[in-house]
Amino acid sequence: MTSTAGEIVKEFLAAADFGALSTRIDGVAMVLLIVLLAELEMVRVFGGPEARARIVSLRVAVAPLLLAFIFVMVVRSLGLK
Amino acid sequence: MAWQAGTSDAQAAATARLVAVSAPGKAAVGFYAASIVAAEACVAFVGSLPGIYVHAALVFVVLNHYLFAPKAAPSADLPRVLLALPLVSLLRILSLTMAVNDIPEIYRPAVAGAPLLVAAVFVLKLLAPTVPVGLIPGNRRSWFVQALVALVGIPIGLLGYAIARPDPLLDSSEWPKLIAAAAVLLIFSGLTEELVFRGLVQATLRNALGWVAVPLASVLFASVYFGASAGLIVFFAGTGVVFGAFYDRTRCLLGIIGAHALLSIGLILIWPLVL
Repeated sequence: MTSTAGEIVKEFLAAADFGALSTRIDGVAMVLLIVLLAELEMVRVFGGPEARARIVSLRVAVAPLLLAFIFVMVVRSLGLK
Repeated sequence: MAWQAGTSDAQAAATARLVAVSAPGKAAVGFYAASIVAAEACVAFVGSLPGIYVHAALVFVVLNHYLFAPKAAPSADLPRVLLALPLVSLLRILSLTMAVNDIPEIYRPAVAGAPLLVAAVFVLKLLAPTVPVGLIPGNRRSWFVQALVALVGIPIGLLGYAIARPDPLLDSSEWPKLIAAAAVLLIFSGLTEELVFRGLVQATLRNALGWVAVPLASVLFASVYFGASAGLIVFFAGTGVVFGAFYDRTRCLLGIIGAHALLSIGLILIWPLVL
C-alpha cells in the first residue's frame, strides 16, 4: 500500500495477461529511454553553450529508466515472472 | 521562534515572486498536473497500457518544456516545477516496468523506489541552490517540533488501518523480515514519497502558484493511490493535505518523513498483526 507497490501494481501483477502486458509496458519504457538517449546525444552535439545544463536535466529521466532497463534484463535472463 | 521566522521570510519571498510566473506558464503547470492525474485515472480505471502511453508522453513533453523554457530570473520558478512534475509519471512507469511476481510483496516498494529516489536526488541537486528542500531542522526546538510531527504518523496509520483493513504480510515471529520491511518502508515510502511529493513537487509549485500548491500536490499524491477503495483515496488525499500543511509551515521534511514512515509501517506491518 505504497505508491510504488499499491493496488494498481497488485492488479497489474494479478492480470490474466500479465506476461504480454508486461512486455508491452516494458517496450513503452524502453522506447522512451531510447528517445531520451537520442535527444541527449543531439543536445550534446547541437546544444551550444547550454548543452551541459540540458544534458544534466535529461539525466533526471534517463538514469532511472536505465536502471529499470538493467533490472528488466536481469529479471528476464533469470526467468523471473 | 526561529523556524517560524525563517518560514515567514521564505513564504514572503515566494509570494513576491508569484507575479513573475506568467498566466500561460501557470496554465501550462495546471494542464500538466491535470494530465498526470488523468493518466493515473487511465492506468487505474481504463488500462495500464494506455495510461503508460500518456505518462511516457508527459515525461518527454514536460522535460522538453523545461529544457527550452527561459530560466533567467524573474521567470525561473516555472521551469523548476517542470523538472519536478515528471517524477510522478516516472513513479508509475517504474512501478509497472519493474513489477515482478517473484519478488516478495514486502520488498516491492524498494524495487521501483530505488530508481525513483535516484531521479529525485538528481532533481534535488539541480534545484538545491534555489529551492531549499529543508531536510535537517535548524535548531534544537525545530528538532523537537519535527519529532512531534513524526509521531502524528501513528494515529494516522491507525485511521488508515481502520479504513483499509489489510491482511498481515508477515507472521509476528518473523522479526528479521519485519525489521527489513520496516527499513524498506522508511526509505522508499517515507523518505522517497515525501521528497518527491512535498520536498520537490509541492515546494516548486509553492513558488510558482502560491497557496494552491498544497491541495494540488495532495491531489497528485492521492492520484497515485487510484485503484484502492474510495475511502482510502480520500484518506491519502487528507494525509497529503496534513503533511503538505506541516511542510508549508515548517519548511522541513524530516518530521513528515518520519510521520509517513510510521503511517506505512503501522498500516502495512504492525496494525494488521496486533489488532
